[in-house]
Amino acid sequence: MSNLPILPVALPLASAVVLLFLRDRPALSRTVAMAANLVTFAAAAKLLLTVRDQGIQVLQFGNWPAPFGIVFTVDMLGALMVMVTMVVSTATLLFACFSLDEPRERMFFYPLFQFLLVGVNGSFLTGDLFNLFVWFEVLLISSYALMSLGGGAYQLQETFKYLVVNALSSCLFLIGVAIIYSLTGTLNFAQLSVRMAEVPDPALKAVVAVIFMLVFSIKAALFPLYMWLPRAYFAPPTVISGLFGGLLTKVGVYALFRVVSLLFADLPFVLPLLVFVAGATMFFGVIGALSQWDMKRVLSYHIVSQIGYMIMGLGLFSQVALAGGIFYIIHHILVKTALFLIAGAVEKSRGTTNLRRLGGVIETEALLAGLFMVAGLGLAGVPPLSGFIAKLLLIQAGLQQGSYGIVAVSLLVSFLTLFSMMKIFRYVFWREEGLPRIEEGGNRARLLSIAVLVLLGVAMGLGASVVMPYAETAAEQILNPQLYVAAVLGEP
Amino acid sequence: MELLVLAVSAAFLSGGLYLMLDRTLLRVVIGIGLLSNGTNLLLLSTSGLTPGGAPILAAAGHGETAIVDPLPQALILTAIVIGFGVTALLLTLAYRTYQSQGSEDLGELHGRLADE
Amino acid sequence: MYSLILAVAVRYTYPLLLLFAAFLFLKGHNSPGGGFIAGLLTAAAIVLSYIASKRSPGDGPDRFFVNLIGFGLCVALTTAAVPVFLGYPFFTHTFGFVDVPLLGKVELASASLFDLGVYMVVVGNVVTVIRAMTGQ
Repeated sequence: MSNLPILPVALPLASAVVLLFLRDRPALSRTVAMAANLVTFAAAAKLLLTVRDQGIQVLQFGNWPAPFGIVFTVDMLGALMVMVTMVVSTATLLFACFSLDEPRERMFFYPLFQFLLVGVNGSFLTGDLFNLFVWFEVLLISSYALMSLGGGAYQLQETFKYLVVNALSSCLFLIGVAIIYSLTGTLNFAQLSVRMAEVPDPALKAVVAVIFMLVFSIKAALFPLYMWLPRAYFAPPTVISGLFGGLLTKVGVYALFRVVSLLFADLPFVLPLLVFVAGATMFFGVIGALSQWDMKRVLSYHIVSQIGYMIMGLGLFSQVALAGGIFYIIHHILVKTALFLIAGAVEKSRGTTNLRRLGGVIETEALLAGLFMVAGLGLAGVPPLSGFIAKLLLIQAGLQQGSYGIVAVSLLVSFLTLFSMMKIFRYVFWREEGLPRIEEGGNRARLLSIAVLVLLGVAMGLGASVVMPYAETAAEQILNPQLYVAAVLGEP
Repeated sequence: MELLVLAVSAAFLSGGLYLMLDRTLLRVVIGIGLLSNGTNLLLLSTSGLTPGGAPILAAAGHGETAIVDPLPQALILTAIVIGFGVTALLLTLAYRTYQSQGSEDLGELHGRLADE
Repeated sequence: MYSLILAVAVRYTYPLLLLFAAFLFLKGHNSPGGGFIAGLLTAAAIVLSYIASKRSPGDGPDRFFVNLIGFGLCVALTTAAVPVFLGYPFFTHTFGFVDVPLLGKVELASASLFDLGVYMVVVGNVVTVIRAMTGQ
């Protein structure tokens, strides 16, 4: 049994410990954090290739056999998510090294960043329901600390709300765990998948399904539980909100994919409900975005709206739809983080992200404007960029299944997204008047981190034939939970 | 016995929810503490209640009734540790807010901290 | 708020509390107890000594406890990671028996090293939190 699956968790954990001791030496911290991230990146890449070549990987901790001990089960979806996590976290870290103020860096920013990665990667890799809860808490506690880091009163207040919402959803999560354990006597995903199908009482199953969907809907910010997101992501420094916006809600989406496909897909109400929620999330998210006049807030509302598309893929639950949904998640993490980092760069150079006060950024930072244009069009889904491919697949799947309502909503929302991106472009980059530049000389490293993400997004669109097989394998594994079960428990 | 535990858990949960709706930050923190303890009690009530019992028992060859299912207790211990961390963080946040604003009433804070 | 009675009482209860913590720590391998609970008890003893003494817990730039968290994590992580280099899955633990004069047969388990890490993390954490909240 290979220990490869533990590396994306163990390496950031080890580096976090080292960074804990280096808190007084920001320069050294940056180097160590970056090096650790690159090593973890390599481990994630190796894991992805292993999963591609050898199928689902399982690691049994402490050599306890599968249903009794805790396992890490890495299927294609998990490996892909870890890979994307490492890509965006490396880019974000680079940006943070060159944009964060030193007091914040000294306040354990780098250890907390690595702890966050521990939690995120752990959530993607684990094959145990309670273990998923623990990883969620690891990432949430790091995120609370990161969000409140060195903040003023406004930041503290928003963190408090974010914390209360998440503490409530964690309690619900535990209640769900308690009920599911008393129903089935196990918490291992594979064994749960087998035993949930045998639970005789559909009403009890429905209760569990509703609790878990509620929990992950709060974490993923689905309609009508997304209210916490735009304000919470507005408060911290932009690098941190970029990392959160790209990654954190997607952990909730991932958990929904995992739980629904393994445990609840056979309940009659789950999938139609998800499709409905997806449509409402898309629509209300984009409406919220249109009403805002701050770049970070607009982008935060777009996170909500885009999550609707991913859930649409899950709700339609066909090979094409799931592949589209997974492709969408990857595209979204890359592009959305890039957009947030652009907002951060604008904030660094102009001192605000308020659309009404900004203007004319294109004159001094043409490259940044160009990157925004590409990323924004990609988000809206203009061909041949990555968003287009993802949306095309989703819409194809919707038409195949005759779900014309959701297709119409998603097309309308794409159009509104484009409109909203152009609004940002027009007000931030285009106009003649606007605030003067407060920081001379722009920072190449910051631009580099944004450019890497945007170019990867473009490459995903142009080279979709390279990425697509991965998404298709992942979709196939999700559609056939028996593959997952067989990998963990052995052939029946 | 299970019914009693469940009733206490329900009381904790409803009390916690009620406190969470308060405007005072400290009461919200206490509410969350109650909520997580109520949840822990609920977890406790799952041990030994199921006819299936713990998966470990059969393999270890002990008598079926010899040991209570240990898993929920491990879960509760983990949940308590996590709850401790979250509560500590919440208290710190509430305290810092009080320090910087001189108040911990959300109604009062809201006017001052209207979106910047 | 300094109290002579408390200060004298703590002088005698402090070692007892630490001894009891050590007892709980060693007992924890097979019975109720363990690193977490022993850590909490130790932290409580330390905080009690703060209360009894004249200085406030937040005094002084004492970074010992923050570092203790780091060292504890190091110990725990190393214990978990060593099996990886020996070709076993992460977290695999082992145990053996040694004959110690006077005590007889004693069980030594690698899991208790992990527990030691947990103990250090808990002590460091709790004391740091309480110092942070009572300071200033």
